[in-house]
Amino acid sequence: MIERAALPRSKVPPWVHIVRKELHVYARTYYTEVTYVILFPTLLVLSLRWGIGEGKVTVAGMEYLRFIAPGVLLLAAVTTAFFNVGFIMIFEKEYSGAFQGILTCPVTVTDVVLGKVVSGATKATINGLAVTLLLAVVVGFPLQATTLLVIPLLFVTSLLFSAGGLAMGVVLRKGYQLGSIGNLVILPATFAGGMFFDYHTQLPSSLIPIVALSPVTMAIDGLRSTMIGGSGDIVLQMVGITIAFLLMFLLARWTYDATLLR
Amino acid sequence: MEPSAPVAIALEGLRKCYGDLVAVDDLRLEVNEGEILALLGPNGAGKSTTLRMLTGLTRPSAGSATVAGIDVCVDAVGVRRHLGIVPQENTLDRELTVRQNLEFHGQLHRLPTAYRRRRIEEVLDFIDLRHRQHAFPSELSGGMKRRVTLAKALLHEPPILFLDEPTTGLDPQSRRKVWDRIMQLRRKGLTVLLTTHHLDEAELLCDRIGIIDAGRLVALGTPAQLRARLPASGVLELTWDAVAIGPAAAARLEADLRRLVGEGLATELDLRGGRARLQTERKGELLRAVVTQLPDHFSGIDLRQPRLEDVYLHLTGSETRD
Ligand SMILES: Nc1ncnc2c1ncn2[C@@H]1O[C@H](COP(=O)(O)OP(=O)(O)OP(=O)(O)O)[C@@H](O)[C@H]1O
Ligand SMILES: [Mg+2]
Repeated sequence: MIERAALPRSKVPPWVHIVRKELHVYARTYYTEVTYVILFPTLLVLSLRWGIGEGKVTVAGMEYLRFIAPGVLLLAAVTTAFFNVGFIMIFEKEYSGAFQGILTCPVTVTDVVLGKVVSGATKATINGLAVTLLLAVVVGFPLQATTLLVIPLLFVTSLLFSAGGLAMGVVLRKGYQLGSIGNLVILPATFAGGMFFDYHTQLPSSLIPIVALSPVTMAIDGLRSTMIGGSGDIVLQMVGITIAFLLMFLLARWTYDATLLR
Repeated sequence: MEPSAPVAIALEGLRKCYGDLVAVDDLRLEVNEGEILALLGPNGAGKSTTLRMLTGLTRPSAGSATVAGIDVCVDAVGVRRHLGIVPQENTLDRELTVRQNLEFHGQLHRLPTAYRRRRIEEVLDFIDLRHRQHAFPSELSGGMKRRVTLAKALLHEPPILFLDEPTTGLDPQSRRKVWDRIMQLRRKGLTVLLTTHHLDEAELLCDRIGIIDAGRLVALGTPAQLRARLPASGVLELTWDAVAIGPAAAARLEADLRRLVGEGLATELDLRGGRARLQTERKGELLRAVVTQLPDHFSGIDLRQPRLEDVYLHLTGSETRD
């Protein structure tokens, strides 16, 4: 056998390069992407202001538009995370074949899943920061040092939804199927998670424990306390969301193993 | 090929089932180091499935395989480190240029930066596409994309290459170019397992040829050994214009040809709209019978030595297999 001179292998693991490649492609279309992402929050907040007026409605002691701002932000971020990762996966696997190209290299399942999920969460967080700035201007909440806590909160929640998008992208073969499933999960979770109401006081008491255990609820709560102020242990919330992410990561790995190597 | 050459690829009873369908059935085969082996077989014979199992992209239902001494079921990632793979379908990333595709591939192989840069230059020259290195795949022709895929497979200087129909869809010039490259690699001592539908390609490039049909290996040997497997010593090819002579005369002609087989002048008859191929061990008698006993409808009469294609059709039949 011909032996090539034993090469030292680069220390950078393949998943880092998958993240870099994804971000490189994302950077090319950044402006279109961000315009698209801030469109829905802008319309939602402005039309609500039009409908109910400024400062007339309060929930949990907060001006209503401010109250819903964290939920609006989270919705924008997790939508990006889920659909971006899911669509890219379906496209590369079913149409362009780029995914099969990655598989001809010595990369593990974990490399691929980690690369896709971390890049998805990074894009979602960057998009989320654009939405945060928009909301700060339109709704008016103070930008201060603690606002930076929005970043880790958005990032872990986006990791969770990227992993979900990846798992669906692995299983599904057509883009439109992803649309139905995504909306089926994301909208109910954010609505029930207290985007529009205070679940502590406004939900039937039997539902409260279920809703409180949802990672989406934890994320909205956490964002609300960092952006506007409020109660809640942000560390506990982060831990809860991270556990949900790890479970989803294992599920994504498992679907990959069970379907693509079949 | 000296028989003592070490084994680069070994398939031991490899099998793959998709539900009730047995795509690959108990495949046993060894490819020696430095050898070029072609797998031939009709559409759906199981060639790509075999390559996908050998590269760890799909799990065998039974059996095992070792590549470069590594069990593919145990360490698929380790196996792929030693492999250059050209899949049947295009797998270039459409979002990256030619150069970026190579760069990304080298990164996933964890090649050190300086080595990776140097190799990118080398393979760009090797495939003659330096002038298109900043083009996106959508701006390249099919043949160029195929060459870029080959460049990717060679980037990390693997000792073993798997090429799944490397020249399908290429024009004669590009095919020759790819053949040239494969011959150069062979001189460097690479082991190559390739699949193809071009018998001339297999005969020209390969030390040995394996013919697969319905997931089973039905023949294996050098081109000369395979030709020797054909029971006939000659092949007579006849062509006629079925439209011009009319259906009745065409039917009579076909009946006459079948009669010649019945009389033992030919061993096998392959009839297809205006064309007949007869395999025979009695060349002279058959030719005389055709010329003297059959009406003169023929536009072509060609008596020749058996070719690899005749062996292939003899072994796999002349029906399509889908
Ligand atoms: N993922 C799959 N699921 C179900 N059946 C499959 C799958 N992949 C391949 N097959 C079946 O396995 C058989 C072998 O397919 P394979 O692609 O290996 O053929 P091939 O010899 O490469 O054919 P071709 O010359 O057309 O490329 C076919 O009947 C095909 O339909
Ligand atoms: Mg094939």
